[in-house]
Amino acid sequence: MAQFLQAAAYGVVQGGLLALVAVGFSLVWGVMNVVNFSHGALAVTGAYLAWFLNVHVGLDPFLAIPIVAVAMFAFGYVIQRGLINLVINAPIFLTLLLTFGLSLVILNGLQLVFKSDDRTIDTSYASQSFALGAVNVPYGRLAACVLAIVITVGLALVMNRTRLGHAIGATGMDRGAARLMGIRARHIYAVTFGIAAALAGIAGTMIATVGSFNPTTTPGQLTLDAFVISVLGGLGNMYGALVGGLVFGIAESIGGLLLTGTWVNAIAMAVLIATLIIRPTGLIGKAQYSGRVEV
Amino acid sequence: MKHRFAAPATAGALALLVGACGGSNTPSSGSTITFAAPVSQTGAFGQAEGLYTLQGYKFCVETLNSKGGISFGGQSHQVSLVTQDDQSVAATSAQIVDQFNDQGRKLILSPYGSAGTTAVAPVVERNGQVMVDANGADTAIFSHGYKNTFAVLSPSSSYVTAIIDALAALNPAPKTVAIIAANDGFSQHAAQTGVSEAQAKGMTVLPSATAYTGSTKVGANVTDVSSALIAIKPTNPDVIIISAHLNEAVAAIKQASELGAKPKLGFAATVAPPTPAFISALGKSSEGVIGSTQWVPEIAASDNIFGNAHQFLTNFTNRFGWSTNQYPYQAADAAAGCEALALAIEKAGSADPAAVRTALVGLKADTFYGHIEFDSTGMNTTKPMYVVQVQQSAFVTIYPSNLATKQAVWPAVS
Repeated sequence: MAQFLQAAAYGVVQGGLLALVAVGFSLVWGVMNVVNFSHGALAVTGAYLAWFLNVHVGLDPFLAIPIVAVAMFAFGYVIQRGLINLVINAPIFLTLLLTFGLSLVILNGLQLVFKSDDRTIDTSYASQSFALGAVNVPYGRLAACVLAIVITVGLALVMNRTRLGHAIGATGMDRGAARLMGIRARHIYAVTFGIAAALAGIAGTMIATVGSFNPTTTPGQLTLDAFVISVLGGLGNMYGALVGGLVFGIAESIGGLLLTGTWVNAIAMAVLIATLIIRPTGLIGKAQYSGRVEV
Repeated sequence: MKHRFAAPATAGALALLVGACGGSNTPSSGSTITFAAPVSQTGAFGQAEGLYTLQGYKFCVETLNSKGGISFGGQSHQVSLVTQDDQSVAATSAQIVDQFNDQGRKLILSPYGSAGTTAVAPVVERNGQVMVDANGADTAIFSHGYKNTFAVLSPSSSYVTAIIDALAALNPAPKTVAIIAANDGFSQHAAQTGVSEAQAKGMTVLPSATAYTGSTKVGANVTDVSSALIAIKPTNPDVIIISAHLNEAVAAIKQASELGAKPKLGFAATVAPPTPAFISALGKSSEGVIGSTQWVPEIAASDNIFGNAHQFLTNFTNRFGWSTNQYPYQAADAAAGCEALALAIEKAGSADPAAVRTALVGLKADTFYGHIEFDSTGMNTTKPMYVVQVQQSAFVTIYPSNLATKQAVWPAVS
């Protein structure tokens, strides 16, 4: 029983970390209909930025988060306005290709600057844990999980209660109608991509704090995780990534306990397939996003 | 099928090899001999082990050429190295070696790792190429009767057993150990022989002697080994041994702390601890971790190409910008494999793969890497393994005791 509780607790906090990775990816996919293959690269860029601030400036990764978020927002805004916007009306495969190429450019640049060694942000607390009976809850992953919840709730509030959020939602539903209402779609898309890049940077900071990262294997895994979690949770709902991440994390953790560690991915994918069979829109996704109008 | 041993003439071969360095008998320049290798430059091994292997091959070829190349038939032959990125995928390694064969490249140096070498060995056999294996230690590679693959490194069976032997010599010696093993041939076999050695030394393996095939088995090259640690946690072992590669070892040490599954005395791991990437990935958490290694610079070994072990270390680390405190032993493996191939060519007096193969069968060479001699299956079983501990971000040899430069910090966990 203790092992089951430990696996469940770890699954929840790990799921929160994965949700943090996926929330920006889900936002861009849901609003812009862009499957952003450079999401993992953006997360790793944020990780390097936080690592640099920690190693060379001595800044704690949590204090570095605002700096990373602002820098990544600006980076994402510029990328969207200057690059992705050029093909925003093109078929989805072209945006896939573009973001994949963008990912390669970013990662090769990072490799050139930082080499390809694994890096980590070494803190005195992130790898420590507190005990609840026989269950240990790691501080670092718990903080990432709390951050994911706070960000998701905050994002939902922005989307539902602010003019910016309404503009983002309207642009995602019907770009032509949004333009007729005076919304600058190009700016809204850039803001959306900037927010997603900022969230990716925050997720990268947390990954660097609780684990390790490198420019070769980490980005692909993060992009894949974000893709699966977005599909599992469903698009069009700000809480989709959070729910998907938690379910994914728990499925992996409990699955690894019941079978062996080599089966964790298979179990998580089985959960995804089963979910899509029962609910093709994902756990809490909205069907309207499959029938939206692109002008 | 067994290898036929030719009469050894290592000293003569070495003398011939370095005879080209100068003097009035300097041979004229002959054709260039090409060594071909599929080496991981991207993917799971590209960032560390593959890079170290590539650097070892490069350093060997550069050094050989600076000493006049390989000398036979009254001519001095320069050596060129052709490599291609296998993306850390075993099947790609095999495809690349097939392409090498199409290009007439018959002298092969192995890719990094047992999986790649396992995939390449039958291709080499089929094509009549000859391969010196520098970084594939899985003994399964040598159970198929291949005649054209020769490994300079100690086999997988010695990785965890060396750790167990080193642990048994420490004070306090552990009474219980848990072994996490990755789901690849090398790691599983290393764990299997390690369990036997632990039991022979009176240690109890937790949660069970076969757990490395079940609850403590993890995927190869994964960054999440929480399932194995959750299985180990209730048993509270003295030592956790990770029989795996870099990613799994880094994950295990990080996550053990998160899950409250830290061992009472310390961590040990195959492959990962004696690599610079291990320290850069773990920072302070790498301190005290014990690891088995194929080579340490303290061994009393030398040859006429690289000099002694310390000179190899100094020259290699200078060439590629490594610290002498954090040297990648995989590069020594690679250089030794390349050197063995060069010695065999010199001995054969030809770069013909069949002649080189015959020369490898009978090769007995004392090198900077230690003694190289192949048994009937192609393994170098004469070379021992060594054990190091990370102390203040440096690799410190702690076993065997006659090579130890410092005492082990033990217990290693606070």
